[in-house]
Amino acid sequence: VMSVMAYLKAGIDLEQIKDEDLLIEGKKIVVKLPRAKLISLNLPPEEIKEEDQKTGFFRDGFNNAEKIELLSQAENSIRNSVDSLGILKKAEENAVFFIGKFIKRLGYEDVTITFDPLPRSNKNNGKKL
Amino acid sequence: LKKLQKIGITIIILVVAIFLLQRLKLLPDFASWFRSKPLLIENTPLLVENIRDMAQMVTQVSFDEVVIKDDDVPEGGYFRNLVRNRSLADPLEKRIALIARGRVFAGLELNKVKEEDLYVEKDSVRLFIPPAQVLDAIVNPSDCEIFIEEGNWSIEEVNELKKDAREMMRKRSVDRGLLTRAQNKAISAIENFFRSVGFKKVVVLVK
Repeated sequence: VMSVMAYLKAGIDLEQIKDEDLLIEGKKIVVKLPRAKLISLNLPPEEIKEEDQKTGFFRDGFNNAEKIELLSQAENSIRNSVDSLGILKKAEENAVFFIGKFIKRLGYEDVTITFDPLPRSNKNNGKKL
Repeated sequence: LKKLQKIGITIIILVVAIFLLQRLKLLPDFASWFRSKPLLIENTPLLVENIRDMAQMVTQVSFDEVVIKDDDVPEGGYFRNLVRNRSLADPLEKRIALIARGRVFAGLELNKVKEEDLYVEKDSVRLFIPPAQVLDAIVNPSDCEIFIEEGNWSIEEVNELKKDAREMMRKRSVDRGLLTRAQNKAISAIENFFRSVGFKKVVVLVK
């Protein structure tokens, strides 16, 4: 039995914002943002703990290569659960608040922020972060 | 003698039959009985401890790979040296080597930007940003591979090696100019954003 602590960071890829995502009419602005995505997943070594180990009579204890293999599976399981953890939604809410406030400081009075219906494809898609 | 012949022929027929059945994959592979089964974790529930708001702007990610080794070779007495000189394995010696791949994220901590750092007048804008910093250095389990493990190494000892690898990567990426690149990228991204929302005169400076 091992326990791990994982830190996930989610956010918006601002590089994906194109000119056509900004509609400006006087003091009114509409910004279309890409959907939030997982920016990083961190399982710090100092927060990985072995809680218990029991093996049968005919088996050696787990070596570290095997423990790393098990932890990698746990890492993938966390990565695949991102959608259900609610952090993407929270990241989008936070982005609306932060970007909206910043744009208002620039002098716009009417700020609307929307999101793409689907994630945009980019060069990082499929790459482990 | 006839009885022995009969037994011999029966054994030969049995061996040939088993061989043929195995080739046709109609019998289980006997070797697999002794082979270790793949290690799989059980479906474990995830517990979300907390969700925090952050304001970071990641502008550079550096990928790196380091090989890290450690050993524990006890001082040798007469008998231990005798064993070593004869190239026999010393059960008290420990050796480990692992390859760690990791990522170092750099950019701006936007919470450090204060109200007074932004100055706007008509079509001009000036913003002071904090200096770029390392936001994360990550070495995950799937980034590590152990290629030598002799003796007993506890998970804490292996974690220490991973931490050393992570620090090595963090230092190496900073030495290679990660922060300068992150800062330049942040300045150009913010300048482009200001221009795209209608500003003509844009100045972004580092505090």
